[in-house]
Amino acid sequence: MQLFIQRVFDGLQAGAIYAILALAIVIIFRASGMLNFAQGEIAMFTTFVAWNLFDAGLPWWLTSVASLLIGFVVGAVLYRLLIVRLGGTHANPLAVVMVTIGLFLMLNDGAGVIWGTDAKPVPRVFGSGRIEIFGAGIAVQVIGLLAVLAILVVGFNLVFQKTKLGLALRAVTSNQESAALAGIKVTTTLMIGWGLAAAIGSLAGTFTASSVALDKNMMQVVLIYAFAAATLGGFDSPIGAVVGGLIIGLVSELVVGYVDIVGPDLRLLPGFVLVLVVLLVRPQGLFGTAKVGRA
Amino acid sequence: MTRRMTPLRALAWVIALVVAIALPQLLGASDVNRLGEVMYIAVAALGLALLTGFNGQISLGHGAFLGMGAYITMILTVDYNVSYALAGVIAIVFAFVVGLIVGLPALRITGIYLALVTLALATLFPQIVVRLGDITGATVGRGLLPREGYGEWDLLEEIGRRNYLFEAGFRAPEWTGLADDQWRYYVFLAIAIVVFVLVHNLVHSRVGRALVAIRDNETAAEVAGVPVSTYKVVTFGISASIAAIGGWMFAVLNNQVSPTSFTIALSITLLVAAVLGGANSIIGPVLGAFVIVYLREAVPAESQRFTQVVFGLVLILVMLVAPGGIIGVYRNVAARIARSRAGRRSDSPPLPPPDPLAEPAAGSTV
Repeated sequence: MQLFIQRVFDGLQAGAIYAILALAIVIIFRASGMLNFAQGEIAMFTTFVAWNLFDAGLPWWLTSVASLLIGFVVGAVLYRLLIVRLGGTHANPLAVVMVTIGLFLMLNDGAGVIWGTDAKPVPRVFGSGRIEIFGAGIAVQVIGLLAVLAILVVGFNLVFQKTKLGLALRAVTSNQESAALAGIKVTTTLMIGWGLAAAIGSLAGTFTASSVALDKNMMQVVLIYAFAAATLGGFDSPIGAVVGGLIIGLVSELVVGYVDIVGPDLRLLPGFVLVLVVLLVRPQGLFGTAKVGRA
Repeated sequence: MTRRMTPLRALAWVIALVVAIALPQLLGASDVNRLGEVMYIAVAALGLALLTGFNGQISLGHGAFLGMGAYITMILTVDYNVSYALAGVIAIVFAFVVGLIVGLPALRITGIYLALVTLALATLFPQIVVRLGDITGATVGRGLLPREGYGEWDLLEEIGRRNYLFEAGFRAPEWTGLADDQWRYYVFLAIAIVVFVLVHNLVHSRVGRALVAIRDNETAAEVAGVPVSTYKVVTFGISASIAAIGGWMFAVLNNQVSPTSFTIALSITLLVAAVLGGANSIIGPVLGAFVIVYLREAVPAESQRFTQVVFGLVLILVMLVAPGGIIGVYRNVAARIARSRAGRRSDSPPLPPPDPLAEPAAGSTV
């Protein structure tokens, strides 16, 4: 029982990180109908920059906030400099995917060149305390992470439903041309959207680094889980991303823990199978809306 | 629409073929092997080009299919004494079936799901190899040598085997009088030519036009009566099979397979080869493979860590500056020259309409 509870919380911890990155993916998918394959690597990169600040003597919580801001700038600049030049995501989705894969390569190996390939230990954002729940010692980090996730979801909904920016983002998502005619600056709005996504993504980077270690490859698997989470929850649904992330985290942890054939070697398998099944049975995901194709 | 075979074009092909046949007689073994590397990358990248350039889908998992081909070749020839030819056929069928299993759920919906699922496949593949360590040799990998006494090797013996490896595996038959590397080269060349001709014919057939129609506008293709999902899934299966042929070549060339060769980096390298050369052409992947292999070779060892950064940059620049890749640039220049010539002789008939396969139309759906 104790082990089970431990595994549940381990699963939730991993799942919360997937959920955060999945939220970033969902923002971009909603705004521009596209997957950003560099989302995880952008997060890794900003976390490394934050680590430099930490190394220079700033407290870790402050550098985590800094990484949010850096992430926002990086995301917005990438959109403005690269994605816009491709004629936007709707005109040329293939090219956008290729460019984000190019970014993936550049950021991943660029980080190796700049910061080396050794993993760097990073302090836990919420300290390394533990509290006892049903006899299992649960790290405060997990509770803090779940709280951050809850705040993100609430904040996300507030921004999208109650602010002018949220309205503009929703308008651009719904119909770019009409939004432009209604006086919304489409490029600026999307720039902010990509910035927000990268900022939220860098949170996932911070938490991944602080629950394992800071490493240039740390986000690759997280990105795949986040994609799985978004697929499960529905690519256009923020709440789906969160629920999907937690489910993927839990299922992976429990399957790896209790099914011997899978074991720790095949950590990715449960998520992969889950994605195939979801695409087969309910392609729009648990909370997503089904799309109707138009010529 | 096939472009006309002008005498000049035919001459160019004949010269290319003569050079390709003469090369192994002129070069040393290491250069011949490097050309073998170019060929396996070119074949796998062609599979990817068929999928991406002509059908508008992206796979980030072709490294995994290549790896499947390599492992099946190694395991069947070593453990089950299967001939290389039969092992190749089984690898092709296996990759096709896996392609269907992975492609079927992803391809009923829009193509970005394929990119996502294949990304997961590329990351999962080395894990599966390690999990099946008893037959794959886990992280160390295994060589293409007979299995006698394989169970009880120690480290020294293993090192001895590794040195011996380059003598073993796929050997030239006596009657050819060729060295092993030359024989391998000619077999690769024959395979590559067959694969390229087959893909060329496929692309220029009725089916090929349907694939391009799906790339340019899926809904319109569906309305026009093209069975979109079936075509997409089967194209993905064929594309995966071609990558597995590249994997057979990989195993035969390197005499050894280990999971570190088949990571996501390989998948992206193949993508770079296809896109850089020109994914919507048949020759593009060959050019891309040449550039990749010799670029990697030209980079000094101490700067090897920059190669992936350079590949990433190349991918982005190609997309921004020359989305058609090297072949696209060539086509544009050729079209411009033809236009200026036509301009000088104002009474000449108008140019024929451009090749429909030449440039992807804007607004294509993934």
